[in-house]
Amino acid sequence: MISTEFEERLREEMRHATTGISAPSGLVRRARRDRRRRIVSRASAACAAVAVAVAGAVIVSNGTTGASRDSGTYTTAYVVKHAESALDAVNEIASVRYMSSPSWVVSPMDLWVYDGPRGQAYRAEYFDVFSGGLFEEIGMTATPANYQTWTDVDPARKTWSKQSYQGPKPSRTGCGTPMPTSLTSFPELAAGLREYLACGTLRYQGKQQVDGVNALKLVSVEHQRQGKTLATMITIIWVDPASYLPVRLTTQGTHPAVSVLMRYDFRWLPPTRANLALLTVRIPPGFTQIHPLH
Amino acid sequence: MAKDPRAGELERFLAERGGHLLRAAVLLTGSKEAGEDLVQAALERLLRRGPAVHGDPEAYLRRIIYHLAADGWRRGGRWRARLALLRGDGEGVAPDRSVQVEQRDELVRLLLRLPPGQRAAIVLRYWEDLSDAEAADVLGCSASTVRSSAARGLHRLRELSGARAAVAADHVAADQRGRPQ
Repeated sequence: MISTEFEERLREEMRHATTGISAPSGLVRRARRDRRRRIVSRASAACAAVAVAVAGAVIVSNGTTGASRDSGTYTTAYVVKHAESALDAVNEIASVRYMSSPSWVVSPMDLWVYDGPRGQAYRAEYFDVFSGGLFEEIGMTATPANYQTWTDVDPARKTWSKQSYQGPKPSRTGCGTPMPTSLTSFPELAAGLREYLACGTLRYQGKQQVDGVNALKLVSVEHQRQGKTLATMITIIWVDPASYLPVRLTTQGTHPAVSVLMRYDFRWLPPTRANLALLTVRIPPGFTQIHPLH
Repeated sequence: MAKDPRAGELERFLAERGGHLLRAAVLLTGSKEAGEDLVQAALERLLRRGPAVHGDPEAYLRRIIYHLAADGWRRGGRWRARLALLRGDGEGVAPDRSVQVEQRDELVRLLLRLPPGQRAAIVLRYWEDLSDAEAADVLGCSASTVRSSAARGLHRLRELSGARAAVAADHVAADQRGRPQ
């Protein structure tokens, strides 16, 4: 039997614990911004969802990694193996430009990712879909124990904020999707790509010019029947024949929900002092620091 | 970018009633920061619904907040990380006292150890002072479910509180006997 005294104590403690708490201004604005940010990642997340499902229940496949079908002097197994090794050993800063087609579906983003010996660092610049102007800059550093510090700059409001906390355990995308689907997993970029290459769905399909590089093209076409619809996910990774690191990656789903092409262009930068500086968020003069949720 | 008039209306509404919703969210999540996240998630849903939401926005928002809380709402890893900080079980990370509900509110802190559904029922019944039927309307369940959830939650709270009191008494006794704790 619960005593009235206990219930009264509970009521009193709840009143006391919430005394003086008031809603900060700008909640709606932040909700709108976060919603916009989620829309940015929704297309890739949707791709991931389809791809994960495909990975679990592929009904039609275009071959395996080890097919070793000759195409010129390269085979699938050879290219994949060398790309895996390159990603295993990579000590470069990944500079990635992310965009979609149609262009208005996601906010274009430039990001720099480095998984270095003293932890991980990440910086991203988001651009407005319509005006092309910078609307947000986010930076993150993580210790080897994944204690993360995030910095967020809002150019429109001339404010910035910072917060630190213990990050969750990294979640890799495995065979589901080659690219991270959330900001927190971007530091695992190279490892995620490496895992995807090992999944056995890619097939070498010759060379193609990508930004002046005569790149090796790996294509994965996977299908899954969803009710009466046959969904198809096409992933293409172009790798540089000199370094075997990716220079471009695209994903495109033909399912009505994910009929968007996502494109990631990669450059791999040596960790020089100048390049490492690309990972640091610089607070412009005159900007005001605010609470992370304001 | 053109200002959304609807956003302005919502801001005005929140200036009046947002504090109440936030206080409920704080009790449901255990910290002001996580409570703001929860309110914000509810606002996002409201914005997503757009003009489809008619009538009282407070009722709608409250319903979303409690539904999210009762479903054990999580927002990516951030919310979990914050909860870990609050509980002080982060790996090698000292709890951030700035986000903690004050230590003296023991029962409020113990609320976090209840299943989300029981926690929601207790906040609705004992903080919002709603009847079982009114709380059931918010949670979208029957009045008897609210009644049993609240009763189980209170029972568990009492157990947890009693266990702490017993541990504290043991420590006092150990002190008095001069033994190391």
